[in-house]
Amino acid sequence: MPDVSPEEIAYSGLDDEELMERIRYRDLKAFQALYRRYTALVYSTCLRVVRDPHIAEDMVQEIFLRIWRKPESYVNQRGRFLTWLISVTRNRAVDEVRSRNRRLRHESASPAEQDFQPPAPPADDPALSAELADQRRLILGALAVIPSEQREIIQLAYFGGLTQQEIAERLGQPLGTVKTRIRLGMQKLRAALTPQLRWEDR
Amino acid sequence: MDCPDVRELLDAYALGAAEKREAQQLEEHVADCVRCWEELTQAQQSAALFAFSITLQEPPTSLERRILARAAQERDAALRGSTPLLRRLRISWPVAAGAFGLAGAAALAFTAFLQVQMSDLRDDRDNLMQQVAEARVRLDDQNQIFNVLFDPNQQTKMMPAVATGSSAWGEYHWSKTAGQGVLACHDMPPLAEGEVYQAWFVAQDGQIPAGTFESTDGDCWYPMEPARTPVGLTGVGITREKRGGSNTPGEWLLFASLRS
Repeated sequence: MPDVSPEEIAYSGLDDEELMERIRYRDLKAFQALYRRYTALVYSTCLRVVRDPHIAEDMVQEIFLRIWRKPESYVNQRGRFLTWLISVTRNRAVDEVRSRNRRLRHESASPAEQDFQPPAPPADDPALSAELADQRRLILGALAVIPSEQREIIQLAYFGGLTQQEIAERLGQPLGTVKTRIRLGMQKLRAALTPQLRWEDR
Repeated sequence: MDCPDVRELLDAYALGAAEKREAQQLEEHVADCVRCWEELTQAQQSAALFAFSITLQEPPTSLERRILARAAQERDAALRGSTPLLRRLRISWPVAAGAFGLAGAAALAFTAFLQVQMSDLRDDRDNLMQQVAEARVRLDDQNQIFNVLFDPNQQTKMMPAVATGSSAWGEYHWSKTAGQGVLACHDMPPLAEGEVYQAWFVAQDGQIPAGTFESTDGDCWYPMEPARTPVGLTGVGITREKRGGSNTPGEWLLFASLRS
């Protein structure tokens, strides 16, 4: 139940790059604003991969404190902060699963449908800011056009941390089929996300 | 690995699904191939957006306090380790200059020295900003205590120990004018390693975490968080929790009912 002061409202109006610039000067309010903006996304991604709320919390702490300690690890010339943050989060979560060898315990045979939901208006997700809600609506719309067998494999790779070979073994499919489905699925996703990716380049 | 091979593998790599050996070969290729590097960047952006396909959940609110407290603590520790600006500037240049006898080398060294000093000045500016930010937080806490204790209409409620035999006691002071509250506690039972005290607001629809704190001598003055007191309170209390705090109170150490 955070108490929102006018100062916090002002910070929440700054974009990611401006907040990161202030974090470089050890501005705790900027760090708090960044945390509040992305904590749900980072936590949910960690939780989706590691399937343990306590480990997910520890990872959120580790990821945000890493940003606080080494804000220079984000270089804005290489892309948007959000893309970087999601990549860092996903990779850290997958590393965690691998290191703890929990894969067999938390992976079900078909996780693809577990979290997929039809596109929903942003108002259905109060945890998201309007901009993030737009992106979420876009990605859900893009996922809806990908055949389920392609979507399932992509999700196994992204959230399950499995390689193509491991996915083939898990699903009992030829490796060539898995490779093709990943490629076709991602091509469709990219085509559907073209406006978004153009926006990312700005 | 050539360009067609790399493009076959880009999506799997962006999803983290490439085999280790293939991934290394791809990385070596894109390091020298701008076009493949650009395609890889686009594939990585698509893959990153995948995170939006999941249902979002908020972590416990105590996590924010835990992370911010840690961040502030590390910033303070860095501050304590910093060297005062003027002393360093006075001492280090003659020492640096003496190390270079030749004029050319000295000129070169002076340039390098200036770069180091500029870097130091930037560090000192950062430190000053840290000190200002930290002082503001302390000032906010002190203001809250001042607002409550110096309000002529301040109200106080005794907080007795809940456990039988405990000598701990406390008082909850609040100011309706300021809309803020402060806890005082005395002779609190000691904390074990990794434990903190946690303050709580109790309302009709449940308990609201009001921040965590520590005390080395069993006494405390604690400005409640959030600083603006929630409406409809029926009580306040203190528990002992694991560091980082809890969403639900454990065993009450002190508790006061605010029902009139």
